[in-house]
Amino acid sequence: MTKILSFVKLDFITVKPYFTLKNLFILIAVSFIMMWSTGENASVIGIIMVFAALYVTYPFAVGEQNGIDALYATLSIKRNAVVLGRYLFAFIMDICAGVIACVLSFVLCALLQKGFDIRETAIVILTMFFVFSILQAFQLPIYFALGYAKAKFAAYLPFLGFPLVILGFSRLLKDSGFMKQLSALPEWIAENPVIAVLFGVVFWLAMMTVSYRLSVSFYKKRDF
Amino acid sequence: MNNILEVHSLNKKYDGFSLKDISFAVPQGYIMGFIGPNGAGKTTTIKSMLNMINYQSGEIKLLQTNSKEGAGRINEQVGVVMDTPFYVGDWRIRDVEKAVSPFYTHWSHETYISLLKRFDIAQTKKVKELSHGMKVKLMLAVALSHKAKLLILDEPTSGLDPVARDELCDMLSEFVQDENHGILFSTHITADLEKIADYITFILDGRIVFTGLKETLLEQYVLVKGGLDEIGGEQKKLIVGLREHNTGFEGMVPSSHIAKLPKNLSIEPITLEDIIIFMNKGAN
Repeated sequence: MTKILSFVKLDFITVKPYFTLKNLFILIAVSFIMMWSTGENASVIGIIMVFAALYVTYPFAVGEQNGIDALYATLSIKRNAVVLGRYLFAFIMDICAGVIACVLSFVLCALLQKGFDIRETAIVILTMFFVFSILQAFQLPIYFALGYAKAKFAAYLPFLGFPLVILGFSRLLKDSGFMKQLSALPEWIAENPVIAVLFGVVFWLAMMTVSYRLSVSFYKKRDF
Repeated sequence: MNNILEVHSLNKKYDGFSLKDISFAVPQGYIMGFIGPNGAGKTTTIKSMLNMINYQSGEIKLLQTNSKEGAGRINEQVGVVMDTPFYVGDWRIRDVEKAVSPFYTHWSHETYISLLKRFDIAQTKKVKELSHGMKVKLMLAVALSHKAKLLILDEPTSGLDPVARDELCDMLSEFVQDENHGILFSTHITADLEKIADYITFILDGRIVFTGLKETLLEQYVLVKGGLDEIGGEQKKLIVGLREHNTGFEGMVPSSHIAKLPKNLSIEPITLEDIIIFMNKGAN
């Protein structure tokens, strides 16, 4: 476990040179514009989660450029520890993004004199966290299988494909009973929050486990 | 005498190239030079040892432990210097220590700092700002700061000036003063190996053609020179990597065949570099 935590630290050191003030200003400026134009703090949260998703890919990009996978071998880090550490890094990045999103939303709401509902913000952050980490569960095995340069395009397909799939399904099933049942989902969640959260957690864990195992099997086959 | 590194029947196949049945061992307390022309399989063999690549068959033992089974702990006792460093170009030198030190139980901050001072590497510099030679020295500083028992060096001297190469050779000789240590040293600059290596393993086209004491290899062959009319067709067949030019010929001959050659030929001791050149020419 110590080695996995050290690996997470190594990932943070790998991306640290790219946590620049310039990127922070861009993040704040984009968030401010989104908040000002939409009046919704959900857009701010979305932008920050996208930034986090980009940073999660940095260890692959920076690592590939510098041959860092070979370094992991010289440091006695087993390949499954590399994969687990990277998933933990992604998880922590998403958590940090959630916290930053909450704070930035609060500050921007105060600056633009808009109402800030902590409960609503928390629900949006949790939902975004869920969606983004599921998308990462699709994305990470592709990076572990192909490396950053080859996977770059394919790995963004889940992000592009997700809204399209949602749109496609809603059009296809527009008049079916399934859509009526689906539209009743928010109401059901509101009535059964514990079961909904429990189901979400189990689904998330299952997705992560499958994704992790795929990543390990792909990564073990690679030569550096 | 225990072996600090053992390679048994290693096979690795790529499209167009393969390592075939590679076997050799580095005894504790000695330096083994790993030589061969470009593309012979030196780096592939070294990467196999460090589990950077998957190989089809064979067994590699580092410090008497199977390198695959002990991958999570054995490499900690192995210092690695490759021809290009693995560190992120935007890391500062102090970041390198922060990144790697948690993985080494016996990391010594004092040793690292003193080696950086000795190599004249400022901690505030970025890795990408270092010259190739300085990058090699940085890797060496890391390799020597975690009390490694085995050093694996892949072309470490290629970017170093003669003074730095000499200093490196002195440091390596110093390292094997401890009889529990050992070094595998792959290089094209065979003059360094002539100076410090005790054993040589010679790889050519994915096969080991010699492994043993350096003196044995140097005694096994001689350099022969002479005029074109001084040698017959049958005698030419004894010469490995025969090179003919306007005024004569030169080539390498196994010492056991000297008696079969005309007495008037010039016979000189051979160097490791000559062996690589003539063996490679002979193989082609």
